[in-house]
Amino acid sequence: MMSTLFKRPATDSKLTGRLLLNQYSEPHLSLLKKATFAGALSTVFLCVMWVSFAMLVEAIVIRHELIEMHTQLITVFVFGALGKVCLIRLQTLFGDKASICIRHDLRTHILTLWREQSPLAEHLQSPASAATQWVEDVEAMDGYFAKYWPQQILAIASPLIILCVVAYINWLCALLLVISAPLIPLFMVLVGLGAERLNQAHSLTRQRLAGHFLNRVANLTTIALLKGQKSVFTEIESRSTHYRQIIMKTLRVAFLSSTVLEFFTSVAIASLAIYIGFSLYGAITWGPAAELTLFSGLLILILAPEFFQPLRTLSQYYHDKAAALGAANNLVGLFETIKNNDEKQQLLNVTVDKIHDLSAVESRLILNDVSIGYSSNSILAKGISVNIQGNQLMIVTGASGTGKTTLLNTIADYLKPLDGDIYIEPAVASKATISYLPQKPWIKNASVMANITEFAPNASVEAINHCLVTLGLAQEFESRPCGLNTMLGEHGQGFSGGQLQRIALCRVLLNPTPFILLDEPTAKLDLHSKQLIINALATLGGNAIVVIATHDPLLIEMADTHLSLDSTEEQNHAVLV
Amino acid sequence: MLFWFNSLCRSQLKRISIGILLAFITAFAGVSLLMLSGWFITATALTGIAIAAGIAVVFDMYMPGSGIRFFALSRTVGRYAERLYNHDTILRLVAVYRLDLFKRLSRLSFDELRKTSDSEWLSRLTADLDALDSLLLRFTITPIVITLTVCLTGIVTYLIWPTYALSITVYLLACAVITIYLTIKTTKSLGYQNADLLNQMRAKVIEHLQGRFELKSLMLMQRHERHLVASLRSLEAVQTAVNNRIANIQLMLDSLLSVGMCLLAIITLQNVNAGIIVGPIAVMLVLMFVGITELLQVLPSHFKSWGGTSYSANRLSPNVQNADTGEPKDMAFNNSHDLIFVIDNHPNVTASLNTPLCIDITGTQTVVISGQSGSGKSTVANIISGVTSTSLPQSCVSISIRDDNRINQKLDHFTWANAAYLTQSNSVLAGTLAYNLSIGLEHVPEKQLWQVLKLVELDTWAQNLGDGLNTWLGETGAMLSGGQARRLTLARLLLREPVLVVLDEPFNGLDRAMSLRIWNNINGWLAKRKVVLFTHEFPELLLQKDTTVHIDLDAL
Repeated sequence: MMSTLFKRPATDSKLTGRLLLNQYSEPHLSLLKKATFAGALSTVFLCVMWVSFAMLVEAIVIRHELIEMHTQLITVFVFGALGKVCLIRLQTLFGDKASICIRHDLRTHILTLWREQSPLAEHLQSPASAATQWVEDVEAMDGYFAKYWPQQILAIASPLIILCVVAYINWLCALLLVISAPLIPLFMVLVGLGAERLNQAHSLTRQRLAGHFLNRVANLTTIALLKGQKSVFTEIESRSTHYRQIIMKTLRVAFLSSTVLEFFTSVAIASLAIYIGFSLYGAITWGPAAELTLFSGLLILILAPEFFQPLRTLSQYYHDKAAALGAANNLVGLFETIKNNDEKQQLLNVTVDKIHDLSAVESRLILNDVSIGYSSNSILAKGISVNIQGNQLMIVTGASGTGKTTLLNTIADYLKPLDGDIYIEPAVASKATISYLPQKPWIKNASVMANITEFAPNASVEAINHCLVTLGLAQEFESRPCGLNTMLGEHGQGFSGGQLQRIALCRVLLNPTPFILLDEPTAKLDLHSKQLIINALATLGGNAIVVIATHDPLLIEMADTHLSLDSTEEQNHAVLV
Repeated sequence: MLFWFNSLCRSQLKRISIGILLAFITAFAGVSLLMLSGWFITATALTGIAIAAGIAVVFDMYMPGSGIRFFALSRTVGRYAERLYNHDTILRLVAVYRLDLFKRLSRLSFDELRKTSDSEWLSRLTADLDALDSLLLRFTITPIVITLTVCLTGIVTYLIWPTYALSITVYLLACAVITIYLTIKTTKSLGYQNADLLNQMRAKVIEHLQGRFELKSLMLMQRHERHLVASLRSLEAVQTAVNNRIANIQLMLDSLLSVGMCLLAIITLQNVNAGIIVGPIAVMLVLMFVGITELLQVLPSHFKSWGGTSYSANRLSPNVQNADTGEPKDMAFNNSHDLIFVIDNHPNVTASLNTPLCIDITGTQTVVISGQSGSGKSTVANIISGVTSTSLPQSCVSISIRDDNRINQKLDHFTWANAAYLTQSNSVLAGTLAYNLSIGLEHVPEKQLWQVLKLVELDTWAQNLGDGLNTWLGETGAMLSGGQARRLTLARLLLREPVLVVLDEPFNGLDRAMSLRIWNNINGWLAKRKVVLFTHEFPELLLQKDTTVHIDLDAL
């Protein structure tokens, strides 16, 4: 369903924030329309309510009838009032629901996009800014879908309904309303432009002042080391004052735009009141004035503020729209970078219940004159050729920076080889084929057990225990109060590098794949951990093609094949040892 | 929350009162506009009919007319003034909050200070500070203005229709109070949960993406997404619950107000029938109720953010910071003292894992500590510059001063009074060049600034800048290359007179020739102090191997 829902836009049409918002509101248009319809209907009930009230007033005040005779009108009045209120509740219901559904779709799709991305894609954002997008930017769109979207339409539909009622009674009043309605947004825009120009004039100063506080907070360590805290206190005070003065200058103009709205509204109401009053008095006799009665006059007077209300509400929600648009513009970048990755589509809905039956597989790793690097202008190593058939241990060595990690990334298909080709068998298909253990293993903010089982969902309890014993972890955690349920914080504080590395190695041992890539698995570890890891790695070589990037002489000794990436070599061939 | 409310009242009470007054005038003008218009139309209708029937009636058309125009204008002007004034107050409040927060942050230990440079923490700080705006606008001004308006209109009603004045006032105030109470009670904890879930989700996303390397090749990313999806479901459940509760409270409030208005309409019109009040007054009273309804309707949405604001307020409050372990002692020493550092089995320092690492700095010697990245150089640098000494006791580190009489004084929870530390990060502050150099110092003459710039070979560059020493550096001004920033941070130290100088890879980003020249320039300054130099490998170009103390973190 996902694939039909999210047809990629044609590769040559540029995705903008606005298009993105529209794209995601499409599937839930019915909810949004229901919200709008409920809103429009509430205006109808509003008119009904005030019509009956005005009739009641005229009957009692002018014709001196008894209120008890008008129970019908009273009933209509009460129902109109309550009906309006209920419809507004409905409008909110649909609007909120639409917003939640749309944001859910957006977030789910972003997860899919992340899944498709290579961890080393160009222009990849940091996890932190990706998190901001997924959490904050999408939240910022709430107000747009729930409130602004229906209101855009209601800001035209509701006044139109009211206008019809007013026009039916007195065309002059209707004319006044019709003239003032478009004038308001016009003036607001003009004022807004003026404010914007003022903004630009001060923009550099404003930016510096706005950033000042955060800059000083971010550099607090430096400031503290230089013992400059006190002078920064005074700075913050004076900068805040300066900032305030500049902002107020801009706001004096910016707020005029909402004042324009208030002004027109109040003036329109006042003018109508005076016009109607004078007409009823008899002082105005031209035009439709003579036909005005208390009923029509009162009705128009009460409906006038309601005529302008949707526009006032829209201007209140405008800020929601701006926020959503800004957020959508942020997200557009993410969607664009993944546009062209269609080949991996089919792998998206893979479940990882199946693991390879390793005994049946004859693995092969072939690199044909491969050049590796992050981009074609920075080739790290060229002419790499490797031909491995059957399970064995291959070591990759080279001074720091020569491309050991890059080679592993290329084999894992996180980077494309800049030249030459790589052939892996069994191919990456519906089963996970490659295990990758980076230099610094990824530690989840969860228990030791969870950290292991996340990667080995099908491992049996015995297998897990055996693995833990082999790597010395069972003994080490026995003494701890929570045992294997001890929480590892996200930085693994309180645990040695060796322990964390061994925990990560458990994952590899418990979820064996035909290819295992390890990046410096024994670097910077205490001797005890090193020994345990080397022992474990020794057994791996028989079950998979294991590629290890390392400096460790003990591992180099164990290798079946050795690939050296020293930059002095023109061609790098894997050498059988 | 209470803390921030108090801070608000203490600092800006006068301004808040004026702001409330302006808002109140605006609100009252709005209600009066409706009231007067309604009265006016009904009165003129009756007058018009009377005149047409030949009865002589005296009716002043122009007073009400002017009144209407007056209220229309005051509402507009009042709104503008109120918005402007209250925004000004908020900006002042934010300034007060920021300063308070900064002062508290600057008292953190160095370990805790590290988090302040994290951009995520900073953006959350900004969001939290922004959330405090609500305190003034939504939670303070709105309820007070409503109360004042209702009371004033109650008094006005009492003067014209005493029987029901009290009931109307009480009814309206009760609606307001019930709404505020219910909103806060039913959504406070949900609002809190909402903010909390968002934070958790953020952390989970970061974790998910950091695990990409290992998860993706095993095709376990989708499976791992289940954590995020579960969080998302909880969030949506919470948000739906909040939305529903608020919408229901709004429904309740709107219904109560509608019913109230209908009742009022019926009763006033009955009274008109009975001759107790006249038509125009009846219409005026009903429209007064309508006007006040407008004011009350915003209450649920205003107080919806109580939970979220509470969450932000708590995160910023002092009681959340770790218990103060007391001011660290400022330890001074001079060149005749020896500094002794013993590091034993520190998880970050590989060299200390099997045998304790001892670093002894005597006289004005230069000590070079070399090691590959990951050997723990920065940890050792932090220990030697006293940066980690203010954190909770570390069992692996022992620092002592030995003076002439060979008395060893073991130190705990202190800061060095006269040490300078050049860290690996090049922190250029947003400010002028002169500011960046002389921060923390008073009245440094320009001549001196140029002198140190010359020592690090930045004088030509500085002269070529548009404004020389007054050029703005940082994101909105001149950007420095890595090497330039490095030299700038070095120049900063040269203006001071520390007894201990710790340099963590001072020549990162500089070529060999320049490093040698600068080293020669600052040698005179360095000779008078204890110097600890951290590098990747022993700088043979700069120092003599046999005469310098060299500790190799890789060899141990």
